[in-house]
Amino acid sequence: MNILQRVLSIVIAIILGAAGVILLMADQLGIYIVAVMLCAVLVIIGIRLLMYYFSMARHKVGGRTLLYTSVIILDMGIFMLYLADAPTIYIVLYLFGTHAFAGLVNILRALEAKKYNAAHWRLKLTYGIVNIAVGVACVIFVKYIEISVFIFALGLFYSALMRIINAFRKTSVVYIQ
Amino acid sequence: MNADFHYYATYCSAYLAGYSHKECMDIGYSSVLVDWCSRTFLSKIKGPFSAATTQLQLELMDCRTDTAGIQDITRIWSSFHFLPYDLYAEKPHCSKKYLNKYRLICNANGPLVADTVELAKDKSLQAVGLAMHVLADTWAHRYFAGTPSLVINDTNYYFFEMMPGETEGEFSQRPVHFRHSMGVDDDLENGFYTNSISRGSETSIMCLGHGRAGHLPDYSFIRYKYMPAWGEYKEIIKDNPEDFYNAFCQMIYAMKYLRGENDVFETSTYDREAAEPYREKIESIFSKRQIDDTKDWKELAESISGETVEDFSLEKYQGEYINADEDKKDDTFLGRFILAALAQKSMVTNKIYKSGNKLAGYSVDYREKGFKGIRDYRKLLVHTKKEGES
Repeated sequence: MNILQRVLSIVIAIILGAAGVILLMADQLGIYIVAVMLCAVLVIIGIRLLMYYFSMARHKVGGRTLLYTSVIILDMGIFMLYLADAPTIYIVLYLFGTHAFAGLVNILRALEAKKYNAAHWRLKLTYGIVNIAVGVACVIFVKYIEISVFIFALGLFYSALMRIINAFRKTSVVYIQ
Repeated sequence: MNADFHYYATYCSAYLAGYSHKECMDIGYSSVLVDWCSRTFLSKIKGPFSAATTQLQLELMDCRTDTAGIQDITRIWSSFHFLPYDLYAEKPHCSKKYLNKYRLICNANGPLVADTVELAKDKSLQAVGLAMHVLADTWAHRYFAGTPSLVINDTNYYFFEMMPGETEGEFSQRPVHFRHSMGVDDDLENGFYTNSISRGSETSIMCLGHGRAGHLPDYSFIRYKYMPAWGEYKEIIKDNPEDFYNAFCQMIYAMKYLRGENDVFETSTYDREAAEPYREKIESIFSKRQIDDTKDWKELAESISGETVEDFSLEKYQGEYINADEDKKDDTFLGRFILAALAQKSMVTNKIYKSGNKLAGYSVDYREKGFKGIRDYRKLLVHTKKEGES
């Protein structure tokens, strides 16, 4: 990564961290903020896909499908912003889906690592079990909105932390002749 | 290419190039090890992670596809499995971002193949085996890039297998049916092949290399035609039996150069003369519709050298490396392989970076700027200095 990318990574991490703090402090309003954030993500994805089509995908065989997809996602994002007070269950299901999938991948990785007698398989297995437990907790405590908001905020903190770690990581390959 | 080719065919070509049976075993082993030396493997032997020459399926599923993650993936797959053909290729009316991906498309006989062979000159047998893996894969993996890219590596419904007819040179075609059943063998008889799922995302690891074309590029018997995503709706016919035979003859030529029998290594040159006595047998292996050619290649290898060629075992050299003292690790079999892997990755990353393409990350030239980069490469620096002194 160059300096600009590292700075950008830190700035995004600060924004994610701040969003997490706001969520924790927002109390009952938290779930509404989560919904708005998810809709905003859809709008951003739509715009990015449009840019992607014009810069790259127009050269691709069958690339026009991506143009239609981008318009639909953008439209959906804008439409959903009007419905940001949608039922909590969708947000809870989203949280469950992402954590359960990540957990499953972690567990499969752990089993594979164990097969190779690699050292880190227990850590991976723990990540997997924790991830699935978090997803299940979202569903069990569906009536307690604060728990889902708390879990979402934790996810934001984790992303922020990963970005900061990556920003300081040495990534250059040394060329030796 | 599959392990059968990387292990046994490399053994055969090394033998025909003049190496001894023992040397051929080491070269073949190193060639196939490129497909096994993942971070999971390196964590087991406590080797440097930067020496990874491949990524396991679940490692890929688990890795991040942010800038640093993509660069890491690209370094591994472009350096060892999808060597770029032309880092300065041009295509009109394209953005720089698109061109950077387009320029990583793999093909045989590019300048980087010559650089790869040159890098292995006067180096260990492990370096020779690793270089032969890279060279062979430039034939099997033509037209795909070693970076996740939907606009380069995607395929669509226009995908046909060319089935040999009654008379020579006559082919009929049948559609290839792709499915996403991981863990299920390809159904060669009915034309059902497993490929990766299209997720519609540019950087999805599903679009890394030939994932969207399944294992087809690695089968020696197959001929197929399709429209690559980058090809402006132009059809490409891939003739694997011919390509694999070219790879075999080019390996003999390259290894004769590495042994000092030839003065130069030039691309698009093949030692067909040395392979001629075995051409019919090799072609008969290529014509068999089977997933694994191990048995046939092993038979051929043993008939060529008259020696027993033992099966590949990943465990074979692990104990030697793990139990070696820290200052002796570089002298072990795996230690020499790790040094060769670091050197290849360092060289390819540098070439990509110098072409103005940052997809494989940043490269710092030690002679100009000193050691400012990933710590793992210090091992390579120490070794290079030692070699220079001796």
